[in-house]
Amino acid sequence: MDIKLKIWRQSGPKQAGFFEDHRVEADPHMSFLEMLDVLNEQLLEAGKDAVAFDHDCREGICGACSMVIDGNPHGPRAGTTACQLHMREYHDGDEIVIEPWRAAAFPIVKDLVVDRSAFDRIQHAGGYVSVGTGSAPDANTIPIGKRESDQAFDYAACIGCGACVAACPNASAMLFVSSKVAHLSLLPQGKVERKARVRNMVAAMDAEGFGGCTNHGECEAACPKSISVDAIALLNREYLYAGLARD
Amino acid sequence: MSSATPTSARPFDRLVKALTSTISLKIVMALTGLVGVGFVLFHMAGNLQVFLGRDAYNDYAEFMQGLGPLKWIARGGLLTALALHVATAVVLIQRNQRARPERYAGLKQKQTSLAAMYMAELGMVLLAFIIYHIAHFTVGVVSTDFGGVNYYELQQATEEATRRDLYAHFIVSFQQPGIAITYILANLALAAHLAHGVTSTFKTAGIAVGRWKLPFEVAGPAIGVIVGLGNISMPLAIWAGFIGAT
Repeated sequence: MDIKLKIWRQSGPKQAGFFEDHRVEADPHMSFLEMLDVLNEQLLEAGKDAVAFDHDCREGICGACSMVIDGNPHGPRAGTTACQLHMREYHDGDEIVIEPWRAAAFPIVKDLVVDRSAFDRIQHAGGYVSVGTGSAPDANTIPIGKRESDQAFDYAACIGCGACVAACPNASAMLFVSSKVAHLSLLPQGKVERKARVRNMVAAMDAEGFGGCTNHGECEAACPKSISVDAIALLNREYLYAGLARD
Repeated sequence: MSSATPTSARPFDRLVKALTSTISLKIVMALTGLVGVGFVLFHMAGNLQVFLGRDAYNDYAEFMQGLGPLKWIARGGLLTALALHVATAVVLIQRNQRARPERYAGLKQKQTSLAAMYMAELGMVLLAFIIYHIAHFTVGVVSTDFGGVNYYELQQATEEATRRDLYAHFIVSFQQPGIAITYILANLALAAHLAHGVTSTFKTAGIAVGRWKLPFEVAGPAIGVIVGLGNISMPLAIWAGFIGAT
C-alpha cells in the first residue's frame, strides 16, 4: 500500500519546525512504527537524516512511543498505543499527518521526540510508597476490598506516556497525576503518605507548567490504557482532604 | 524548569503556593460559581412572578427593595463572588494558554462539548450582559425612557401611597425587540455556561465520581435548560401578548 506522510521535522529544541512530505510503500501487516522504520531506511539510503521518534518495548506497555497521528495522540484506535497500531487500519493512498506531543512542559528534543522528564520529577515528588514494605507479602495477608483493589489496579495501568497531556486542550497533566495519586492512596501501604503525596505531586505538576483540568474528558479518550477521567475527581477529593482533614 | 521542592520552602511561600495551586483555584471557581448558580435560580424564581400580574410582581419588588442592609450585604457578596470568579478564570486561562504555546496542525476533539470548549467566551458574554443588565434594571441608566416616559421612576398608586412600578419597566423593556433578543441570547449563553459549569463544579469537589457521576453529569445541563427556559419564557410571553397586554 502506498502511504503519503506529512511528518513534523525539527532539528533541535530551539530550531523552527516544519512538516515534510514523504511516501512509503507499506504492508498492511506492518505496525505503524515498522512503517516509520521503512521510511527511515529510505531516508538513510538517500543520505538524509532519519525521523527521530521514541519507541522501546513495541508491545504497548512501556509508554515510550508518543506521536499525534492525524490529530489523535497514539492514533485513531481507542485504548491503543502507537506501537500497537497497524497499517491494516489504513487504505492505499491514505495521507497521514504525524506531529509530536505539544506542551510547554514537554519540550521537543528532535522531530517527534519530546522530553517527558517532567513526569519523572512529578513522580519523584510523591508517586511512591516510602515505608519499608519488605518483599511481596503473601496473598491476602493485608485485606483489601475487591472494589478498591480493582480501582487501584485500573489507575496503576498508567504507563506515563503523556497522551493525556497531548490530548488536553490545556495541556494538563491531571490524568497522569491523578492516576498515580488515586492508585497509591486507595491501597493501605500508600494511604500513610496520602496527604503529603497529593500536595507535593500537585505542586510539582504546577511547577512544571502544565495547564489545569477544565473537564473536557479528552485525556480519557486518548489514554491508551483507557484510564477513566474519574481519577481527576478523586485527585481533587484527595487534595481537599489533604487541606481540610486534621491529622 | 524547576522541580518542586515544597518541603524546603518557607511556610508563607508554601501557603501562597497551596492557595494558588491549580486545584485550589479550581475550587475558588467552583465555590464562586455555586454562589452564582444559587443567585440565578433565586433571581429566576423571583422574576417568574411577573406571570402573576402587576400587583404580585411589585409586591415582590417592594419586599426585595425593602430589605435594607441585608440587600447590600447580598449585593456585596454577589459582586465579590463575581469578581473572584472572573479574576480566577483569567489566571487559570493564562496558565492553560502558557501550557501549550505551539498549536497542533489539527487535534481531534472526541469527548468534549461546545459549551466546554467556549466556557471563557460564554463567560465574557455573560459579564458584558451582567453589566448591561445591572445598568438597565438595577441602576436605571440605560433603556429607561420609552415614548417620553421614564419607566425606571414610574410609580404605581396603591391604597395608602405610591410605589415603584417595576412591572411596567419590565414589560415595556421586553416589548423592545432589541432588548428582548439581547436578553434571549444572553440566557442561551447562560444555559450553556451552567450546563458545563455546574457539572464541573462537582467534579472539582471530588463528588461526581462512581455512582454520583451520572446524576451530576445530568444536573449541569438540567439546570442550564431550566434557567434558560425559565428566563426566556418571560420575554416570549410578553411578545406573545400573554402578559402585560393591558
